[in-house]
Amino acid sequence: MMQPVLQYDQVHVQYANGTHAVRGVSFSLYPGECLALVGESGCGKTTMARVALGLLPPSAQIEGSIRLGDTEIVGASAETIRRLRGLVAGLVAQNPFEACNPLDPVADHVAEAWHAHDQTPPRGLIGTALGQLGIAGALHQMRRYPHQWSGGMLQRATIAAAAAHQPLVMIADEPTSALDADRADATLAALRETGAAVLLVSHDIGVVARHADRVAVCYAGRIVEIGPCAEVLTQPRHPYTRGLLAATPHASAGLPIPLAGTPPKLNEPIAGCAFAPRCAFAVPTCRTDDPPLVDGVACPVLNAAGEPKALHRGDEILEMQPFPPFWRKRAAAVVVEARKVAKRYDRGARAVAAVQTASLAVQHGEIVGISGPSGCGKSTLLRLLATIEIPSAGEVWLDGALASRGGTPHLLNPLARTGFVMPIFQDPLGSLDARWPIWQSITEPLTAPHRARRLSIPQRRVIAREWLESVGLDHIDLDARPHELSVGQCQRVAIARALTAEPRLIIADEPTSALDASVAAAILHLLATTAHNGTAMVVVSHDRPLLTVLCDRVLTMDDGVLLS
Amino acid sequence: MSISTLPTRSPLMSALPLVRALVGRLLQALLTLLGISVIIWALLPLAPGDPAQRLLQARGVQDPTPLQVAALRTELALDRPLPVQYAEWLGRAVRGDLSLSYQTGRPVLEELGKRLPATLLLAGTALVLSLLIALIGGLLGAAYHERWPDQLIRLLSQVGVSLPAFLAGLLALRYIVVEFNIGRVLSGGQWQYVLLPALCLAISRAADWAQLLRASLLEALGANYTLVASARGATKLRVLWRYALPNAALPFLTAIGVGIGGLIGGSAIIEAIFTWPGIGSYVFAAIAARDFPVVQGFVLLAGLSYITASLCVDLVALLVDPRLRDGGHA
Repeated sequence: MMQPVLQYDQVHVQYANGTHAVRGVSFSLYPGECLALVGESGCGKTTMARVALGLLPPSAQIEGSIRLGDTEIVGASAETIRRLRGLVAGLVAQNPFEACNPLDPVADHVAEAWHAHDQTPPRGLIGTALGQLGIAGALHQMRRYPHQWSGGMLQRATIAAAAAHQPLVMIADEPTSALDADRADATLAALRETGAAVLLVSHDIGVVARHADRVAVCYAGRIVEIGPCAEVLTQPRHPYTRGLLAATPHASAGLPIPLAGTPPKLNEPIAGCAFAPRCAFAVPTCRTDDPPLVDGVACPVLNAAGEPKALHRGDEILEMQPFPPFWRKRAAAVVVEARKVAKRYDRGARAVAAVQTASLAVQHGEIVGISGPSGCGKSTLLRLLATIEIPSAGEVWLDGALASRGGTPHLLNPLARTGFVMPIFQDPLGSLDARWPIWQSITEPLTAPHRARRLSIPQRRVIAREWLESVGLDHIDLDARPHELSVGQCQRVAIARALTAEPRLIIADEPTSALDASVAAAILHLLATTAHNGTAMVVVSHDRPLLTVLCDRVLTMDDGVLLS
Repeated sequence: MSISTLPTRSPLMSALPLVRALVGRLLQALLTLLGISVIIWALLPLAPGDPAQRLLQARGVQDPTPLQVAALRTELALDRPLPVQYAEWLGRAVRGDLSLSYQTGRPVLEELGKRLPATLLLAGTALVLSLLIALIGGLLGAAYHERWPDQLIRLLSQVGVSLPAFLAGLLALRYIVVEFNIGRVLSGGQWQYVLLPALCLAISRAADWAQLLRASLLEALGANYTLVASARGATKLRVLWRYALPNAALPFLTAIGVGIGGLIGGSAIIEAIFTWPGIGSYVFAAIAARDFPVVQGFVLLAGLSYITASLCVDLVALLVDPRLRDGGHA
C-alpha cells in the first residue's frame, strides 16, 4: 500500500463563534490522485481543505490528526507549518485575479514561490514553467499585470506558481468557479499535469466527474460518502448524494429537482444523522444515532447493495415528482422588443462595441435564454432591455410603446421607470444592501416616487412576509441582514424583491452561477413558477444545459451579435 | 532576478498611456488654478472695508477726505472695473509678477518669498513627522490587530484626531516650553526650534493618517492575495511589508495629497502661536489691512502647492498601480 501524502484522522474544527465546521473527518490522499470534496455551501469543505495548510484563523480550535507528508499539522508551530507551505503543499484559490497581487507583474507572483522561502528563482525557469502549462508567449506575457490577463490563463499561471517546488499536495479551493465552463476543463487539466496529489474543493459536479479520481461528499462538516468518482456519481448510495446529484442540471435529464429543506446550523449540537430531517428514508434511529462511515458510506438504512432496506421506496429520490408541466397563458402581447439595438462605449480614443446588433421579442410568461462566452455582450443586452442603458442605435419597445431609441439620450416611455422591468443579479449578497433588514430591501420597489400609496412600516412588513412565503422562505426573520442568510436564501430574497414590484419582465444575469446545485435547482424552479404566473423573463448564462432545461427558447450571442 | 534580461515591450510604448494621463492631469491642474484665482477675485471685494481707507489710516491720516481716498484708489487702480483689474492682474501673474503690496509697495512675490523658507521648513518637518508617526502607528495597529498595541494606538489616535492644532500649540507652549524650558517661544524660524511647532501641526494629521493606514492595511490583509501569499510560505512580516503595505498605500496616498495642501495653508495658527516668521502670520496681518495683492498672491501660492502635491500623489499612484496606468480604477 502506498503511503498517503495527506492523511486526516478524526479532524474537528470549531471556530471562535461556535461554528463546528468540521465534525470528525477522516480520509487519505494518495500520491498523484485527485480527491474532490463536494457538497453545498456551508458544509465545511473549504475549512476541511484549508486546515491542512494551517490557514484558519488562530482562534479556530483544531482536534484530531492531520499528517502532511511526514509532519503532523495539528499542534505544530506556525513556523513549522510555514516551512511546508509552497514546498510540500500548494494552494490554488478560487479567483485568480484576487489571488495575485494586483500591483506586481505575474512573473513576480510566480517568483514569490522562491522569494517567500529566501531563495532565488533559477534563471529562466519561470518562463519555462508558464510555457509548459500552455501559456502562449509566456516570456512576454509574464511581464504583464494580472488585470491584463484572461481569467483562464491567469489561473494557469497561479497553478504554475503553486507548483513551482513540485509539492506533494495541491489544495484547490473552487479553482474553476470564477471561470467560464470551457476554461474550467483546461484549468483542471493543467492542475493534474503538475503531478501533485490534488485535494479539489468544488460545487461543480460536472467538473468533478470529468477530472477527479475519487469524490468525498460532505454534509454538515462530515463526509457522508466517499469512493471512486465513477461509482459515487453513477450509483450514489447515501440519500444526500442522490439528492445532490438529482439537483444537478444535466442536459439530458430535464429540470433538476431541488433538495427539500436546508442544511443544519453548525453552531448548534447535532443529534443523530445531520441529514435525517431532510431525508426521505430516515427511520427513528437516524435522529438519535450518529452513523459512522462504513464501507465508504455513512448511512445505516442501506443494505449491502446500497438500496434503502427499511422502506419500500426504491429509487424514489431519483424519480421524485418532476415539476408540473408548464402551460402558460400566452397573450399575444409582446412585453419587450429590441429592434436592431447596438451599444458602443467610448473608452478614450477607441470605441468598444459591446452589442453590435440584436433583435428580440419576448412574450408574456415566456422565458428566453441567452447564452454565450464572457464578454460577448449578453449583460449589455440585458441592460438595454431593462432600459438601464440607452442604445447607440436601434429601438427598445416596452409593452408596445417606444421606450428608448438610439440617438435620443433620454427615456421616451415612463413605463421604463415604474418597476416594469426588474433585475436579478448573479451575486445575491452584493445586490442587497448589507445594512438593511430584508423586509426593507424587499419592499423598497414600493417606495418609488411614482407609487401613489405611502406604506407604513407595519404594512411593508406584512407585504414582505407575503412575498417571502411565495419564494419559499416561510420562517425567515424579517429583520435578518443579508450576511446572516445563506447565498441561496439571499437570492430568494432578491427574487422576492423583484416580484414585489409586480414586474412584467424579469431579467436575470447568471442567477444561479454563484449557487450550489441543490440551491440552484430550487431557484430555477422558482423562476419557472414565476414565468408560469405570467411574468416574461430573459435569462443570461454561459451554462447552456441550464438554459436548455429552463427556457422556452435559447438564443446564442457571439461577439456582440445575437443569433437566433 | 532572471526576468530582467528577457525581451519586453519597448519602454516608450508602455510609457505612452502614462504620459497621456499626466498631461491630462496637468491641464486639469492649470484649470483648477485659474478657477481658484477667479473665486478669490470675486470674493475679496465683498469683504467690508475699503483698502484705500485702511491704507490711509495706517499711514497716519486719521480722517481721510474723499479726495484723498479717491486719489489713492486711482493710484492703486481700484477705480477700474473688477474684470479689468482681474485681467491685468492675471496678465502679470502669468509672467511671475504678483503686483505690489498696498502696505509696503514692494513686490508681493518678494514679500512672500522672504517668508516661504520658514513655512516650508515648518510644513516639511510636520509632513515628515506625520508620515513617520502614521506609518509606525498604522503598521503596528494592523500587525497586532485587536491586541493591546492596536488598542493603545486606536485610543491615542482618537485623542490626536480630536485635538485642534491651536490647542496642541498652546498646551505645548505652556507645559513643554515654559515648564521644562525645552524649545523657545520666540524662535527666529531656525531649524533647531522647528520640532515642537511641527509636532503640534502634525498631531491631528498623523492620527488621522494612522487610522486610515491601519484600516487600509487590514483590508489588504483580508484580501485573497495575502491569503495566497501566506499559503505559499511567506512570513507574516513579508506579507505585511511586501503585499499589504503597497496595496494599502493607494488610498493612503490620496489622503496625503489633500493633507499636504492643508499643511501650507493651515500652518498660520501654529506660526502665530510660536511666532514663527512664516507666510501664515504675514497673511493674517495682510487680511486685516485689506492688502488684496498679498492675499491674492497667497491664495494662488496655496492653491499651487495643493495642486502640486496632489499631482505628485497622482504620479506616485500611477507608478505604484498598473491598473491606473491602463486607465482603469484601482
